[in-house]
Amino acid sequence: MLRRISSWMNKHPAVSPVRDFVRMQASKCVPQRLSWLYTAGTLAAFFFAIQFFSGLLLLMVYVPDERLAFSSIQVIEHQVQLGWLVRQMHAWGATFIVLVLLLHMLKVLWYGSYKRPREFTWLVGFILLNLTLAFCLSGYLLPWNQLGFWATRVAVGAIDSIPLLGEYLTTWICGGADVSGATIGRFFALHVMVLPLILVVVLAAHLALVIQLGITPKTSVKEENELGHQGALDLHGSEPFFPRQVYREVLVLNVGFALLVTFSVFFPWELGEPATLQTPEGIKPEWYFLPFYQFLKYFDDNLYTYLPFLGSLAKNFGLSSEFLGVLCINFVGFLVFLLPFLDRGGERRMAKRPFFAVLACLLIGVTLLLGCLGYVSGKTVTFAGRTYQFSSKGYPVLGDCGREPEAGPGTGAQKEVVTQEDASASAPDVVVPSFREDGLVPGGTCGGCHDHEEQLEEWQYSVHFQNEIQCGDCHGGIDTTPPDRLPEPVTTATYAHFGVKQNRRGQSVAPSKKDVPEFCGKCHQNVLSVFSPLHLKEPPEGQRTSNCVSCHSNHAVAAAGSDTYESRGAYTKGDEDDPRAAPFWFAHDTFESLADAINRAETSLGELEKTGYPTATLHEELEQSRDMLALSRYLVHSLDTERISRADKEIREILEPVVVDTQAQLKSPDDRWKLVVGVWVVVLLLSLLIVLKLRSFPAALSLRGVEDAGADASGGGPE
Amino acid sequence: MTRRVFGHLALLLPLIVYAAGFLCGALRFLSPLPAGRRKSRLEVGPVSEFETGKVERVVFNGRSIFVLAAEGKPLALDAKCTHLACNVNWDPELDRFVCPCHNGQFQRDGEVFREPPMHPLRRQKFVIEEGRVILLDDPEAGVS
Repeated sequence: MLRRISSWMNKHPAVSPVRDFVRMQASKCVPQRLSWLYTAGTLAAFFFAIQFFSGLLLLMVYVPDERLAFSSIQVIEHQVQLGWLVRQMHAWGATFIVLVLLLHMLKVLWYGSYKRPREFTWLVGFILLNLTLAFCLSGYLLPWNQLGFWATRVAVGAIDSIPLLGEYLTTWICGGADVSGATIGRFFALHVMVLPLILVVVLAAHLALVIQLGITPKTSVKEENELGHQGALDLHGSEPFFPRQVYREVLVLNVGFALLVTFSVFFPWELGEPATLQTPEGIKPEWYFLPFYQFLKYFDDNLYTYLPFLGSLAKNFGLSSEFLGVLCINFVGFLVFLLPFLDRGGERRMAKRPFFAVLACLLIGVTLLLGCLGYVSGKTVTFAGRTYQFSSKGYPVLGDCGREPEAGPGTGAQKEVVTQEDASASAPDVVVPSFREDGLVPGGTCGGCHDHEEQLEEWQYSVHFQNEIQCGDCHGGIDTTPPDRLPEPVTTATYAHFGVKQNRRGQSVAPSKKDVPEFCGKCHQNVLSVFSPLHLKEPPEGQRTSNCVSCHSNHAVAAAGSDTYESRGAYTKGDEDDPRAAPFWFAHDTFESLADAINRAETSLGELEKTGYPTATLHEELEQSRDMLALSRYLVHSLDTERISRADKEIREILEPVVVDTQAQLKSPDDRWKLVVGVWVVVLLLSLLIVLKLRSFPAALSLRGVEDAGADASGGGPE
Repeated sequence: MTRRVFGHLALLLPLIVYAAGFLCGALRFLSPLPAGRRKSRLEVGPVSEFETGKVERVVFNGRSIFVLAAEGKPLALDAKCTHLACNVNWDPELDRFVCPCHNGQFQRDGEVFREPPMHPLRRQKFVIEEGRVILLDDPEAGVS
């Protein structure tokens, strides 16, 4: 059956041209004993494919919106199955591609592969490298975290430094004067649509050129011109692309993939903090941008002191120092781009190109040096037992810069140490203002006539004072808003005492014990609505009648909460004679248990938050339960255990899932290493197969030999 | 095993393994996220208001629910039309539920008044506590 399908496909007019093309390419010759570096191009293409597939998956969850981008990445990282792996592979994939492309470029430089007739292959390849860097930069902003945001801002700043056009270009790129929510949409479109389309075209052009011109032979340009490509290859020995080179490339892809998974698992890219307008300390770009980052630092007024002609140039043309730096980087890049037209010598072997070798080594060395300086700049590094502090420009300073000063007797460091206990001991508990903001004495107008020093002092330590509640707010009087019409005859006394409780003789009096709940209930309506008359019933012998002031005090009004329960509670716990004690302490224990549970949940949630898990919803639910508890505490005044139990149940219904989810996430086992082991086992097994196959080839394969080994091997003996 | 088969195996196996690995990974990635937490109950309002003719539309665990009274008794109905799953609207003039998609109509008690729907509107569980209507979660009801 399979044979029939295969036969049908081979004869089909749509399949046979493809098959013939693949066979022709596989049989094309490459130089013998190719370096492993020749697999870098295929490896880069493989990583591009991984980026495409992982990016496609990320697209299904990611939201390109400044309010949702960061949280959608958190969801990918923590809630989507294998989301963390896909994101990490995408992030590490970018680094791997840049690394492999640089290796590929070094290989081309080493073997002189950019020379005639492959100038255009180099040009297209160079564009491909820059496209990759554009991918990296545009993708960097998308998580909308601090690192991405500020890296993009710096990059945009470089564009902004271009004279005349800079501002226009920045506005056009960012969708505004600066990096903002509009930028994320633009970079997203660039990253997932514009750049991939350009990449496909450029990559296709690069591959077409490679196929058309073939792999560079180990000859000079002149020899290749004279002998032709095949003749030049044959001069130093050649073999077909398939099978040896194909197997070697598959082997490298295997190892590359396993390394990518390993780095993704063991060295994950931290998402960090969401983007804010506060630049974090020590922020630096990715390693591949470090040389540029460091190079730009040297373009300031100090440089003009050493190179005055640059200063005059900048002054005459109105160029900023940043732009000069950007110009220099682009100028060097442009020279590298035009390399095939600048290095027109016919020799390909590096040993016979000393001038180029020196220049290339210098450029690579300086780039590496700048990268290293960029990495250590602003850091303290200990090397060979000595501590160096590197300035922003990377200049090392030897000394104790990184060490903590030793605290000895009489040292300045010791003098400045003030312990927290000392500080808190010296601070007053409550700051009591001597005058009200409206200029009246404490107690408002009442304080002008009534000399209630004791009450005033109590009031200054009350929750009422903290919330700016004055005498008149409870007792009535001039501080309350007067009505449209005052009772006749209007005198100072009637005006000042309007709303104040009075006895039959018109004298101002304090509310009676029975009236207190209603007196306080003028403001605390919710308490009054549930206030149990049981509080006011005749207490057991030897105990007080209870009303609001029994627990909350009189003028030194205590805030609601556990402190009031513990220190001022009017009921004795476990008092079986008092019918108010049991429901009161039931409410106390219920609400305190809830408060404890909420605090514990908050602590656990804090730990979970540190792992980067998206906790916004859990926090919302926790806050909801906290608010509900605060709003339910007044139910203690009802002495209604059933009602309190119902409130407890409702709060716990919200709180319990938060606790369960938090604990489940905290206890989830980290078994990601198993994935790495699994991948390496599979990769090693596949690689073993390939190595065995590679070893079966003779040292020098001819086209005929390949046909014998591959196509006609069915007659061969078992392997 | 012949050299040819071995050679093909060495090339095809990585291809198959990678394709299968990527496919399995993608399928796992695309599996639905854990559903949001469902509310076990939702207080709608005093039963007396519904008894006097009020019709209230609420969203409960992702479903649109009508709370009203039919023949003096409170009732909660799922707004999902039993024809092709559009959500019906309450028309106070007709005193009926009307589906905007195919003009199917339901009586106050959820029974079919006008086809194409063939089945009455689904009833939503509820209880009355302290004179208030409280909807109860029904995990099998899905989303409307």
